[in-house]
Amino acid sequence: MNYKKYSMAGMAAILCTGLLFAGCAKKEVAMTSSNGSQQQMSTSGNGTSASTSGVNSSGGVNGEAASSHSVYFAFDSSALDTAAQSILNANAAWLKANPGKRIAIEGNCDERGSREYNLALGQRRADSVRTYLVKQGVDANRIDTVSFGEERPVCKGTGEACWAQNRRADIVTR
Amino acid sequence: MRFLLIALLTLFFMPPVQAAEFDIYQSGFKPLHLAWMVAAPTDESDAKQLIHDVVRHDLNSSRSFSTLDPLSFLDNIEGTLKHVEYADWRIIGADILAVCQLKRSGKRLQAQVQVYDPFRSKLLSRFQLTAAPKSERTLAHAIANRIYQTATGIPGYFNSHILYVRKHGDLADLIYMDQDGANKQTVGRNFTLLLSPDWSPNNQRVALNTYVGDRPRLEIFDLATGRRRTFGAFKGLNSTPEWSPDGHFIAAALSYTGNTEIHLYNTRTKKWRQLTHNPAIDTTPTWSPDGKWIAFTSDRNGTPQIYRIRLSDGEVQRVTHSGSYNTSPSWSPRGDRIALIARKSWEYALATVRADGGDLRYLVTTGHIESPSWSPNGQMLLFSREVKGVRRVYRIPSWGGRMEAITGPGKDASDPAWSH
Repeated sequence: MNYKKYSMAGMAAILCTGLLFAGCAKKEVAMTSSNGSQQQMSTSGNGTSASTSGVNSSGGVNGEAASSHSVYFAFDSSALDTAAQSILNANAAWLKANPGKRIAIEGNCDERGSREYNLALGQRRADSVRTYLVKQGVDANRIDTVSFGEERPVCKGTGEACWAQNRRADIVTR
Repeated sequence: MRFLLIALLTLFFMPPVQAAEFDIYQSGFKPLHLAWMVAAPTDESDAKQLIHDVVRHDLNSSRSFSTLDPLSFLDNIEGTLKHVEYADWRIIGADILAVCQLKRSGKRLQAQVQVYDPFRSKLLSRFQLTAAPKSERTLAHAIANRIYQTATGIPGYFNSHILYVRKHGDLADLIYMDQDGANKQTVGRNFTLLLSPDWSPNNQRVALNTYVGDRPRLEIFDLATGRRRTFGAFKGLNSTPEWSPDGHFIAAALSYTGNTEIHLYNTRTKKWRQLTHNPAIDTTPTWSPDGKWIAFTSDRNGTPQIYRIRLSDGEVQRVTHSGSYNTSPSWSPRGDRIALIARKSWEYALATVRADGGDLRYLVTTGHIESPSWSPNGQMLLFSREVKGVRRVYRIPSWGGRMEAITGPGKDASDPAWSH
């Protein structure tokens, strides 16, 4: 039932990333949240082009910029939907093109549920992204994972529009 | 005296809030009516007031007692010290009469206490306690402990302490206070995230989960010196430490194997070993007081539920069967029950369940409830509760009833941990 919403959020995030320079993805996610669901609606249903712009941005004209991307999850889930997979394919391509880069995957949760259980859930989300990237051919030794559970929400309000953005894994270069 | 407690299980106590999702447990428990008097030389009126008030507050806040208004007393302390007229105390409904005589011996305050049962016309106990200099609150708590134990047969907890976490911005402090909120002090400052503090069995150290350089680690924090030592900094998750009752081990949830499992840290050899082996999440371990079992949260059957594992042979049993989200187990120091947090349709409840999974009781609901922690005698529970963005620590009897906030509304408070 929530599938549409969070995949839209994911696409909105990557579209933003495509439009702007790499390294700002975290802020853009926050912008998406303040803009609310309307922007997410307008960018829905265009998965392929969204992920392509992801490649462009992260593949980056300037390779030294810290690239970061986010994928989103359903409640109490670490499953990667097609939107998330497109984003990760783009990231895997960039990582393979830039073999010197190391990344950390930060798993996060929304505020619902118990904080301690959410630490483990955030870790499972980060591990799920890591496993996917490794399957795409990225060297496992280049990927670090960390969970912040529900301790570092991007969107600090309540309600599904907000929670959907907090159930995420961010890929950051370290 | 225990029979008296049971005999008085008659009156109903209605909690203030009835939630739609949870059927709140209704206990018939009724507190004992206590007549409490203190006598002291005229130049010790401050000490007299302090002892009187601290003992009264301790016993009332336990909800096992309700102190009677001194205006209803038919006898005064001077007369009662010479001769106890039991009938006069029965008439006003005093289940327990406790009288205390204070005197100063050098710098030390001395208390001579008698505890009576007016309905059996009987002296139940007589004891003398002496305070170390400037430790009059400690003396008061010790008196309350003895009255509590004499009347209920259960040890008191009034000299225990509470730790909790206060978050400010991205940083967190560790706060220490007496169980009644006195003597509050910040013992650890500016942690980058601070979760799951847990007292060592001797109450001298605290195991906790914090982040350094955006990586989680497990530390032992020495309360006397403030010194910190890292004992778990593996790849991935390092979380939810809990000391074994004998202090020999600390159980924690680690994910360096690729999956979150319960591991045991041997505090003597400083070596880790893996306890659970399951592709699901296994986290938040809590020890049975005999050290033979660990209860934990696992989603091995699809949703988070409470399980327990026997350490002798690794046998795993499911504890909770009701509801689709049960987490944060905390094993009672009495061993019989496990406290937990239940969630149904975005409502949360503090619950307890028998260690074998029977007799689930929802004690309190509304707000985002987390982190149950038992009083050392297993009669009270602490928890954190967030309502409209404000997180506070609350206390409730293990048999339910009204919850009481023990931290103010102005500052964040979470992760309460009651000392042993």
